[in-house]
Amino acid sequence: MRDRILKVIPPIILGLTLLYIWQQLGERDLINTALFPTPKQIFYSLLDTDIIFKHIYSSLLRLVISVAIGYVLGFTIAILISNFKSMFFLEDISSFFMSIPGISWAPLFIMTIGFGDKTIIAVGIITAFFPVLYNVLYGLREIDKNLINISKIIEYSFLEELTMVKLPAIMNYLTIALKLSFARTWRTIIAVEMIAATMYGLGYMIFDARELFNSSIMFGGIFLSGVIYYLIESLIIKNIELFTVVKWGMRQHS
Amino acid sequence: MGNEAAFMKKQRVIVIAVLIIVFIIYSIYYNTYSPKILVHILKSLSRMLLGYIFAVIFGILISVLVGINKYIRMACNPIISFFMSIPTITWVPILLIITGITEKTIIIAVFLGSFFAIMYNTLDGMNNVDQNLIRMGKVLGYNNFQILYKIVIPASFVQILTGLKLGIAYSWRALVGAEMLGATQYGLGYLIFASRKFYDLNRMISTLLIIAFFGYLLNRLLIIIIEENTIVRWGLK
Repeated sequence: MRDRILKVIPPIILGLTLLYIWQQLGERDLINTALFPTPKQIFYSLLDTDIIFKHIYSSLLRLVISVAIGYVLGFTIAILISNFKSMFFLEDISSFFMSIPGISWAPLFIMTIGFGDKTIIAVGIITAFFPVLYNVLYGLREIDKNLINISKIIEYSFLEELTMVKLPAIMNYLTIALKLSFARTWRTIIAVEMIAATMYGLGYMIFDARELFNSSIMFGGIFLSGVIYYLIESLIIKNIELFTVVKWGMRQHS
Repeated sequence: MGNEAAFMKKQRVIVIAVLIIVFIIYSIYYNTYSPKILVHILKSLSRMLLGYIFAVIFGILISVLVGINKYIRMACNPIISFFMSIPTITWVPILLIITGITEKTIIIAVFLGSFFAIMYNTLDGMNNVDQNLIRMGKVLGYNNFQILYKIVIPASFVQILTGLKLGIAYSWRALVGAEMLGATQYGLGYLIFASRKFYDLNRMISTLLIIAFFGYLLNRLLIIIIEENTIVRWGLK
């Protein structure tokens, strides 16, 4: 209990102190509030924006769709590569393409698909795809060989082997893949929304506020995009981990 | 088994070599502006290097300063991890307003991209140092500074290196994104964004390949060289 209090209290104190200093600096005109609005101003400007939930909703929807599709694709191709030795070159090609930042695909898709949701989701799928592929492949390679041998002895079919042996064995890597693909796709989707969105989205909100010189909305957008990702990770991904890998004792809960 | 692994490794190298050759031929064939591409690449790399070096210096320095006291360290950890979960690109529009469309914007964006990752990992490493080592230092009569310098930093070096690695990856991403929004003349991100305006698909794809190549180079080869010379040699991995 004491440890938990010690873990929670100091960050809150530090955070509040920093916010207070910032507020006071702004109120006493020591910094330019047109460029650096005070926390109060940021908060009220976020409250005033009526369509803020629409922005958040459409960003989240894009995130979920692209992670879902990218995850399934990455998983399937990883299984393919690991089952057929002749496909090994796909891994190298993908490790080469993995190092392309997601946003640099955006102009290509804007040109071939056009502005809007389709482009953003396409870029999101590409960014979600590579970490999944990489992690699942790595996990499949690390499986205890004896497990595979046993499954051959009891003559499991391909599907049975996959679901009964391989999937539970790589669960640790599956959750890491989920975490990574969420993190990367969130970053990329916000970035792509800045240049390719037409109506809604957090990235669009921030970039649109730049044209209106509305810096409090911009800071609010920065803050929101951090908070939302933080919530996704601590509410969804952490619980998935708790109910699978931590419960099965594959990883210590941190 | 070992033989097979070596064979696979050889095939790997061949695949990567073929990829690189194909991409060089492709980009030379389609880049009619060939000498200028070097300027773009150099400009991008120099921005990245500048931002990254600042991030490394400040990241390690500040986290060492903060890490002297246990409570301050614990207070900083969640705040840094919150800043880490902010997408770097969201800083760019506000930087464009504050500093204008200049080099500074891109360099600061690169800096912000890697700074928090480096700082988070360094602090994490300092938190996870074996307490017995620190007690031993106290027994030997070290003061706080000596404990930090002789025990904590070497013991958390693996984590610091992880931070540096992450920092390279993040700053490369931030660089391309920031160049798209904030560069005026040169830079790989600018090139790819500008070729959209001229509907120049070949130039765009060849730039994409160049970005992939340098990202690969930075992520893999540089890190492998650094890792082999430090932690692998010390037997930590």
